[in-house]
Amino acid sequence: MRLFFLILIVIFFAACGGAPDEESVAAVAPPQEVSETPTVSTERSTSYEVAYADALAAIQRATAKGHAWTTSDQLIKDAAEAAQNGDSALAISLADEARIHADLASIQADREALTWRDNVITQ
Amino acid sequence: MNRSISFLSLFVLGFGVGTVAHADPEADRLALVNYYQQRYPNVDLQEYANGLYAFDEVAREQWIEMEDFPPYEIGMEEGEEYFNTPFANGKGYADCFENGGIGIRQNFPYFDATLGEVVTLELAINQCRETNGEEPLPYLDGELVAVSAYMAYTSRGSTTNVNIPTQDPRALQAYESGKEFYYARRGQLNFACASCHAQSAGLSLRADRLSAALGQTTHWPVYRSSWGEIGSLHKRFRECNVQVRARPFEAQSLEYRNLEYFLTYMSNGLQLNGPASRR
Repeated sequence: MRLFFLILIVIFFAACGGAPDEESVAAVAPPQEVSETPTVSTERSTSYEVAYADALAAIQRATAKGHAWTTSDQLIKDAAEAAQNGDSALAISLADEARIHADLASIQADREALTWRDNVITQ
Repeated sequence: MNRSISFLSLFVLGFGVGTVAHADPEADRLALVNYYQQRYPNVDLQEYANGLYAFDEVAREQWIEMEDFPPYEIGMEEGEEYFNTPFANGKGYADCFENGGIGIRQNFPYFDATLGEVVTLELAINQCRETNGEEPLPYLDGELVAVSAYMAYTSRGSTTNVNIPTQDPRALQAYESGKEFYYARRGQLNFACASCHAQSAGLSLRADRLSAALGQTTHWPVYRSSWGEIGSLHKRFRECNVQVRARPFEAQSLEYRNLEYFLTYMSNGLQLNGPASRR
């Protein structure tokens, strides 16, 4: 069920985060570089150590963009606690989820950097 | 099965330069005023200084009754005492501000050309302390907020008058950064400040009516019933961010100071009425 919701969130962000209309971007500044955003993988990690390291890296990327989510902060804490309690399966699952949330936060940051002006009251 | 979704994104270099060239704070403010006046033609412009009470008649009556014995009064009186208590070196807050710190709230925040940053009243209070060899105080609540509340009280009735030196690109950049913060969606709930306070201002969110962007800075610090004490504007910024599941920034971070700069400019022309109480 949790995976289902995550996939829904990913699809939601994909839909919301479509490329901005040309007019709004041109009004601000022409894009000078095109690069690929992080990939959001829902594949389960093979070990807790890998899952935890990947999640931390993803959270750091979102933090650097100023768009970190509290959900990934809590999930990574819960993952560490589960690992301490010896529940490896739960720890991997929570760390993977933390990484997904953080990657979505980064995608949100990239999208908003281009589209926030669409929300500005201009009338 | 590896389910992965790739997204293509545009990273715009030199984005700031392009936006600042087009920044026009006064046009932004007038557009916002026009937007609310068209949407709520029966709400007087000055009423926006009263937040949600500009829209909600029932809540307004309760608020007016509460003002008979305002819950911020104790904090404000403590603030007056702190304000008038000399530092260890014999100087005091009055020595740090023009007009002895009385009736000056309307001039904050401002862009400090020497620092190259926005300075809020709360930041200036701590700068004053540090200049005089005192330890800086926490920004969210407590003594510093009490001092700010007293200073706000002495400025009641003054008109918000934030100046943005448009000839200084750094000031315009700070304003634009604050504006971007206000309009950019963040957090797991994917809300911008504007989602609630521009597009949905005056509407209900659960049991509460949402205040408008206009007037959001006129009445701070505020005693919020949910806090049970006087708190700062940046405490509220943090709370709003957490509510949409975005990690909040530190109080008086550059992000929040720029946000306050933008938001206060939007309230230019509105009367200060802080400190205040809110639900």
